[in-house]
Amino acid sequence: MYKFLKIFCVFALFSTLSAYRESIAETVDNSRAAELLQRADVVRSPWSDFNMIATLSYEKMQEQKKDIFRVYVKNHVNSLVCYIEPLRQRGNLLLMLDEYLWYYVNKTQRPMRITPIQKISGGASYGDISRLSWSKDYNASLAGESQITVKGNNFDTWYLKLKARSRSATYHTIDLFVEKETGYPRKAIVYLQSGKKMKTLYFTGFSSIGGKTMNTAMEFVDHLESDSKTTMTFSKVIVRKSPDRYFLKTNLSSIYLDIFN
Amino acid sequence: MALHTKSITRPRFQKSLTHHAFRIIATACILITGGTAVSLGNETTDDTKKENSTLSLRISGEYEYLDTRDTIINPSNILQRPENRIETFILGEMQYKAPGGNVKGEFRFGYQNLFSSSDDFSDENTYNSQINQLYYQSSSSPLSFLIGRKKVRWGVSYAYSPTDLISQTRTPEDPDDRLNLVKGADLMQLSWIRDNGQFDLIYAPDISWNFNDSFIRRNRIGMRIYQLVEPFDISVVGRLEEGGNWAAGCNTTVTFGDALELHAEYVYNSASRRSYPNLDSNPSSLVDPFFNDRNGGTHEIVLGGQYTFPGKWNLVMEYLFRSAGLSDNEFTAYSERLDYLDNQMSSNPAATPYFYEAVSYFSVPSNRNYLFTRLYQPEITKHLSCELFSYVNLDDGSGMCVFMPKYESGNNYDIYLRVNKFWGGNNTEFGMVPDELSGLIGFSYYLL
Repeated sequence: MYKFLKIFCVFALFSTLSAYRESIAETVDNSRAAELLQRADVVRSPWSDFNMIATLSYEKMQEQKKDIFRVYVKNHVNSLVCYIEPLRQRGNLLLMLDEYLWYYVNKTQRPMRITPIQKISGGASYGDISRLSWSKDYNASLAGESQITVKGNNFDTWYLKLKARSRSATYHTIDLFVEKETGYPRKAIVYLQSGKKMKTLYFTGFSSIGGKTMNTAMEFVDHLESDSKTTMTFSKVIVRKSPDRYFLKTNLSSIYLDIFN
Repeated sequence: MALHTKSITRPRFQKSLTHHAFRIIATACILITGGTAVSLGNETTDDTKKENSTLSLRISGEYEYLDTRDTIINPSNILQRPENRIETFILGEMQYKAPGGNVKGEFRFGYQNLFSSSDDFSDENTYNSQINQLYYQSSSSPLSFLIGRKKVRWGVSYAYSPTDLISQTRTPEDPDDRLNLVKGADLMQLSWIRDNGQFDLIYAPDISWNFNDSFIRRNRIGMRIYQLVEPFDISVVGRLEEGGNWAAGCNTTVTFGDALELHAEYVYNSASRRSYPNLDSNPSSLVDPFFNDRNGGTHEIVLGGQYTFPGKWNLVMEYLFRSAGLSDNEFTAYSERLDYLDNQMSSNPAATPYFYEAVSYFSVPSNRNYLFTRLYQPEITKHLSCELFSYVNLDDGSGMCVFMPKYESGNNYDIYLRVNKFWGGNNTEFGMVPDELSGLIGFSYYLL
């Protein structure tokens, strides 16, 4: 009996230590993953407050199309997306305050509250334009290492698994590949809640602006739309704090003049 | 609901379809030529640059065929409803950077032609120009000042917003105002913006621009307090008119999960003068007056929500309650009155003025309980969107529904169809509307 108890205690101690070690390893991995994610975020959104032009180019029914937006970012998580082209959409605005969204239709002068699902549409969704910070929206875990190829270039990357933790997250889960050497995001595969693969994002262009590196070009392959491709570029970046009144639903009808004049 | 009615005393003649076609093409050419001239003057504009002034122009047009019917407000088409409507308009929007602020304007120049194959119907051509908005605004954080004509949208509902206390309200028959007929209010507004909140104080007099009467017919002030109290979006609104009448209310929105949004609006009007059928009178006699004015407080409530289904299908549902609407008994008395006058008019000419008086009280909505439902799919195909909406009187089961597919091509133009069907018995609200079915084709071309 005594011998049995001794064996049991040793076994229990071993199991506890093993679990503890795994838990420590997981914590270390998660903290490493969070750190890698933050490095990637800094490249996507180097400043807390700035504005820029976002241009989406895509092919629709054998016809090249281009959508142009001006995007204002405040405190990383608040953003205002203003339609410039196409003409029929000019003056329409999408306001995102953390997880809350409003869509303003210039024609009717009416701001409508919309739901998170309505920001996911097209090859590149509103969320891809307006939400450039992953750290606040996703929990990251380190899933391993991987060698990937983007536009003919090979990269050694950390493979991170991101899972949405807030309603402001654009996607449910993301497989993110962050280059080991630079910390730049290189590729991301995003999934629907059902687990279905939705899009693959390639981070293809980086520019040095005001002494910082920023991801300024992306390619989206939409797997739900016959693998159609969309290119998104950011240009005319201005690092400046935008007025608070840009980020207020009730004031959207009045800021058109500031944005377009 | 605006009914295109005509005086029965007009001279009668009929124009050929060729004549109409010529007129439409000529009008379109004039409008397009005008637009092109402006376009050439601004062709170097770079949309991504900030300019001192910007101008956008859109030309739109519609042809509508109306299938009219005999109803108790329009027996034998006594109101001379047209069979065809053609409407063309140019909508211009301009912005100009003025000293210390900005100026924005929205102008509409339109032409409407109503015609019918009936010999009893005379053509009607209307040219119309209106300024929907023209205002100057200056902002210096946290204050903002605005003067001019502006559409003020305080409501949160899709089809109809009772808390839009300052500007002309939208109608459930055309919630998106596709013809850009809604005009702003003439006002001065001072806004104070702070921490996800805004306070607006508005002076919006009722102004007579034809200068025949006194320039200011009536003074009004309004105010709105808005605050985002996470996760609720809350506004409290009020309006006080010269003479002591006032209105006050509130609205809110909230979202649940990824796809559900809910909203609500409530307004109390201290005095809403309106004529009601006198239930003590016999509708089947020429008693004068059959209608009595009632002056008292009224309530309006909208409860609604929208849900986005997989595949981007979006459903909006809104329940509307109006205490100012006619009760079941009052509406029955009203329809009995119209029935009686219809029968009397052929034998008793004295009944005719009473008939027109009764018809003048017809408006949609008339009753108390309504349901608006809209189903929208933005991408049936890559270029085609589609919406289907209905507006149902829950008191009598009558209603209307609209089916509207829209083709958006390239950067510059849209083409849409709109089929509008009214249903209901002879003595129901929508059953009285003279247009049983209408179908139209329309286009919008974005010049700038």
